[in-house]
Amino acid sequence: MEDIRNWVSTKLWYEVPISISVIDPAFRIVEANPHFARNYGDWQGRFCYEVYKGLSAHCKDCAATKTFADGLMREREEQGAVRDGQQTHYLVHMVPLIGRDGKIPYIVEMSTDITGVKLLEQEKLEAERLAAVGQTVAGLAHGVKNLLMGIDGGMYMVESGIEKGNADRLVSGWEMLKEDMARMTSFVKEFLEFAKGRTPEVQLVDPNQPAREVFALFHETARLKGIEIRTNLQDDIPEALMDQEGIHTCLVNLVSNALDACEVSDKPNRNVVLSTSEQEGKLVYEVADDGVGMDYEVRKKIFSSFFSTKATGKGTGLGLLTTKKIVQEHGGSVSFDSTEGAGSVFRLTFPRDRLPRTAEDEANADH
Amino acid sequence: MERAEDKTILVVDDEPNVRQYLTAVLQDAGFNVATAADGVEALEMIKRSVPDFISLDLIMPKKSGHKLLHELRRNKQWSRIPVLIVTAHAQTELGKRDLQDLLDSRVMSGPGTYLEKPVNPLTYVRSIQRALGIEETRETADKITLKEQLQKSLQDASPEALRDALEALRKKKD
Repeated sequence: MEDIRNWVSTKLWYEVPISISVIDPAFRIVEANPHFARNYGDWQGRFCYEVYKGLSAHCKDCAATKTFADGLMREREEQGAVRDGQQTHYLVHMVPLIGRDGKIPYIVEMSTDITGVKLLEQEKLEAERLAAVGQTVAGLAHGVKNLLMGIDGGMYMVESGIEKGNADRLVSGWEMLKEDMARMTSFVKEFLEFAKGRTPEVQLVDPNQPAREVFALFHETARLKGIEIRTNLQDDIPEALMDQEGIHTCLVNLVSNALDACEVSDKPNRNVVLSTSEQEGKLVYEVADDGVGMDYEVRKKIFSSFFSTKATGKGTGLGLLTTKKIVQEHGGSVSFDSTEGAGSVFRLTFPRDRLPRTAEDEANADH
Repeated sequence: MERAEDKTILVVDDEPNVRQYLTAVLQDAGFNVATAADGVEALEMIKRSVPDFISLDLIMPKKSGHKLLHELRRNKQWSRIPVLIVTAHAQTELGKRDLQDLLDSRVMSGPGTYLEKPVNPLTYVRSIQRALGIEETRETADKITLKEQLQKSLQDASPEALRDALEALRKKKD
């Protein structure tokens, strides 16, 4: 049994397509397998951060330091050096070698190149974004048809009003045309804004901050409508790298929808709750309302471009699509639950490890 | 022969401007018109007084056109009211399948039971007249042909010709 194991161990060391290096507490590489040598070249006397990342000092949030201290195994996704103009990514397992005296003289770092996987991830995100834009263009037809109908209507009223000498009809028609012009303008503006796509300006943000701002924004409006709005923000929620303006836009959209759903409802007490929480490595925003809720048909179509159940002029239907786009740009997802007559909950989930990286991180990587 | 003056059309659309427009078009054709802003209101009005025809939008808050049609189907008398669907969604992913469902499940019968927005007022009126067995007056048919001919000529007319035509029309009015 032991012979077989030794045999396998040796084979693994030499043949496995994983780079294995052994470092001491000073981060010096003391041993490495042939795969490592093939990938990173000469390693004798060099430091792991130098070889893996091209850095001159160890990483800011060094996992190995922690493992040397507590003896726990760790797994990290890391950005490597830039090779042939391509940013490399690797997955590294850090396993401590603990001596009989309880001391940790070495850590084994096993790393696999996942640049290919990361590329696929990015391509998928890009494909999703393009699909959303494509859907939008298709959905544009509906919005335009409604606008054209409005204009045809206005013109008919004006023309027949003139023809029949009916001043009331003429005036009504003219009012309709003015309204159509206004709607056309805002429709085009909103669509252009959506199609333009801002590059998210990412910074370290307290996730509760945009929530507080949106609450302040809608507080008075809600009160005037007889709707109670409150926040439920997790106190110690860690900061995140996000586009603050983008998140603000998403929350405005969700809260505005929630308020509209409450307005249409006949219930005496209507509530909207905006909350933040950290759940299993994910940052979560939730907007819950006990308004009219959505029936099956509406739930099916809710993210379709320009779909809106709201009375015309109250929503172009672009809001949720914009929210979805911004959330996707952060590597997150939008989900919802709804019961007709009871209310809805909309959830924005941002896995921490998919949030964008700052320019600072990029700079550290290719020092 | 059926007369427009004896018929009441119920126009259902969530947009007030569309209701106003279609009402004007139908009244000009001699019909009596009632309006409703959503499926709930429409049902109430039908319960109070059964219309001869329903012009229906599909996507509305509170109760959609689809829902309304399914409810009407349950009542023997109501299921026989002829319906014209006026929708912006016939060609979109959104509406195509639902429209197909409605047409397939024979909730309504007969060809040409939907029109796509923006609707041509003449086509709209004609569809309803035909469904109700109201003969287009010869006048209307002639007027339509003449109008079409005039429109074609207008396309290629020179500014002088246009000015002359305008003068002629104005004179005719007086």
